[in-house]
Amino acid sequence: MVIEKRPGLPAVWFLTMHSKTVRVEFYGVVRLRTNREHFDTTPGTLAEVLRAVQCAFPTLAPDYIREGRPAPHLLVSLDGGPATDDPTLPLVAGATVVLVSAQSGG
Amino acid sequence: MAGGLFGKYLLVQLTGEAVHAEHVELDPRVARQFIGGVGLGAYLLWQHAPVGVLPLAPQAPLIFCLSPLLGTGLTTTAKFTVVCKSPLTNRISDSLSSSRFALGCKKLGVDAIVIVGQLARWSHLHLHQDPRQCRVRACPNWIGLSAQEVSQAVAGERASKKVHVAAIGVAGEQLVRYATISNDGRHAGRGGSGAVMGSKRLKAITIEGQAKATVADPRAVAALARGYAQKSQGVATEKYRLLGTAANLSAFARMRILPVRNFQAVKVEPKQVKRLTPEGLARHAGHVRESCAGCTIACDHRYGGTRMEYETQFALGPLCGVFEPDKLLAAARACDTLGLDTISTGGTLAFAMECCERGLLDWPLRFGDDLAAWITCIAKREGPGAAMAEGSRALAHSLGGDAPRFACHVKGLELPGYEPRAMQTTALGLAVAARGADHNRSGAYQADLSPGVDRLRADLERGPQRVVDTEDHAAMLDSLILCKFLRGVLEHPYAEAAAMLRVTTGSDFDGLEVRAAAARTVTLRHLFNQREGWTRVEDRLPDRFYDEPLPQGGVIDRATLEQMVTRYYHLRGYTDAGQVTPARCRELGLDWVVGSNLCADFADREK
Ligand code: SF4
Repeated sequence: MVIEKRPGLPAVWFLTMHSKTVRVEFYGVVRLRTNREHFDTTPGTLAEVLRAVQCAFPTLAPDYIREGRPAPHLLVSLDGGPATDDPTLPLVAGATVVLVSAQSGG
Repeated sequence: MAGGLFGKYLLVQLTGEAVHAEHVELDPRVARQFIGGVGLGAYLLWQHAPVGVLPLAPQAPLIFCLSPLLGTGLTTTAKFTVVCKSPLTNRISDSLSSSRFALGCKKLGVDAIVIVGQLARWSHLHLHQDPRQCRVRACPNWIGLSAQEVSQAVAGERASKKVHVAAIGVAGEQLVRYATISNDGRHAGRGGSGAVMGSKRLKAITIEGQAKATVADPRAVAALARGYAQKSQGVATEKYRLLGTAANLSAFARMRILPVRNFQAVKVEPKQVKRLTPEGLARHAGHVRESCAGCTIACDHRYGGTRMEYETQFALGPLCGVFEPDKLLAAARACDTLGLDTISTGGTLAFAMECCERGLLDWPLRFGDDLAAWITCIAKREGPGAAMAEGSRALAHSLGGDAPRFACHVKGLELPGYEPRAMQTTALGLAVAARGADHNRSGAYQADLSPGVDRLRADLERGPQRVVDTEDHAAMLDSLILCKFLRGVLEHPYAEAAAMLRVTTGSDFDGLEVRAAAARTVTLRHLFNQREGWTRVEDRLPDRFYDEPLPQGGVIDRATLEQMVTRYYHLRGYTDAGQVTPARCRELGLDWVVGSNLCADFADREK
């Protein structure tokens, strides 16, 4: 869970606001295509969250998200942990999902 | 002769102020067994390096290897590999470079260039398609120049601007053990081939020739070239085209795999890395995109005129505690100008910084410092730079005590930008790689970043096979030589590689044979090390990675990694001690190795 402290806002308020949603962070080409650093959506399974992302950012389909599933060139990780493509993974309120274009290295 | 090749190499012998060059026939079976690039390079190194030769001795060969695909017009194939015994690791070194110099070499009408010997004075070697016209010429005025300045000087002397030059910078002249050879703004970086060239007193090599290799089926080659050019514009290469590998920095920081301050941490503030990302650098210094010759991807992103890729950005940035764009760009520029490998430069500086912090060194060097002046000291071997010019392993040994525990290298080669405690397949890949800590000959990080792989835990069952697979894959790409950034485009890598070779060479390659050639190359590189005295203790990571858990969690279990190493050896057909037996050599078609100039241990096994 990400707890950010913003000047002028009590941390508790911010935590409450955040804890109702799942945060999706974008990196690399995914960020270029969405032109956003992150997006908040309602909790659900990974498939449901990815569908919501696809709906909000159609430019990610089909290259990065297909029918709520990560395409081969998308790396999905829960809060920066090991990569996952499990569509049934439950993402509870306050979870953070990281989306990165998968070809790394160099 | 098979298409795409000439069936011979140029053997260049330097003595005093003279050069003798001649063509040497290559057995056609060699091209079939090793294809080209790093495979051919490993073969020629075995043949030409006397057993136990010191890397900077006159007899030590410096080898430039080409490939059958070079010059065919297939995208990303304008590449060559430089192979030598590394002065940094004392083991095999092969590094790739690209662009017009590669295409120029092919016009010499040979598949490789092997240079041995040493000149009496700093000279410029001019290689010609006709060996009798190869020349050396003293070049005292070029001493102290960068490779780019040498190129300009050569161009100024000639009517034709189409002159192909490879040169060393000041670091190569000073035999810095991680000096590079540079051409067309690209660098054959890792392992110190620039020092080997410097040891021969070669400041520059130029090329003149008009030879053209014929291909077996020109129409089919052209069709493949069109197909891959088109595919190279797809999503698989989008990251390289739009952002370059520098896009990794913020993603790796977020995934807690970006090494910081000499591998003491993986945590950085998003605000800090933001300034070093492609977007941050572009805002700060402006951005242009360039390309190697004959490449349709064009991953070469420059900021304020300075080329930046992830490994440079990591090594001269967060690894050294540097988060300011100006400092990063100045350090990268200094390495390029002076001819230094950025990873080893950053790795050695970061190690020295930690030593200073711990009071083991009394140099005024701290994390976050401006690196450019220190890099100049290294290249010129001035002051503390002389000790750092030997690399982090030698510096640690000279300091003794606790220092070797946190000198982050394997076999003397400084680690690339992947935190092994948080990437446990990569940990194995780095440990066993023949070239030393290496992300380009292994690519195990790809396995760690795949869904279903828990990269935080060692997988004794599947991890070693993943390392074998990624090593073979890399050896295949590096033998053909195809750019690694095309790899996502190849859906069936070995079958597609075989198809490229069939239409180019006319030989009936299939995917299995290409994979076998890759595995043979990996084993021959290991055999070379074995011949030169390698033992299993070299296939380990520095103690830091076993003894110091990351603050965010993650450590390598020594016993488990040892078990994984053993399992890796078994998968490769080696003994528990990692030795390649004569029987295994025969299985791989390396019969000629058995009974040749082997290390004593290997010869004993044969009895
Ligand atoms: S993708 Fe980049 S490194 Fe590879 S050949 Fe093209 S420009 Fe060169």
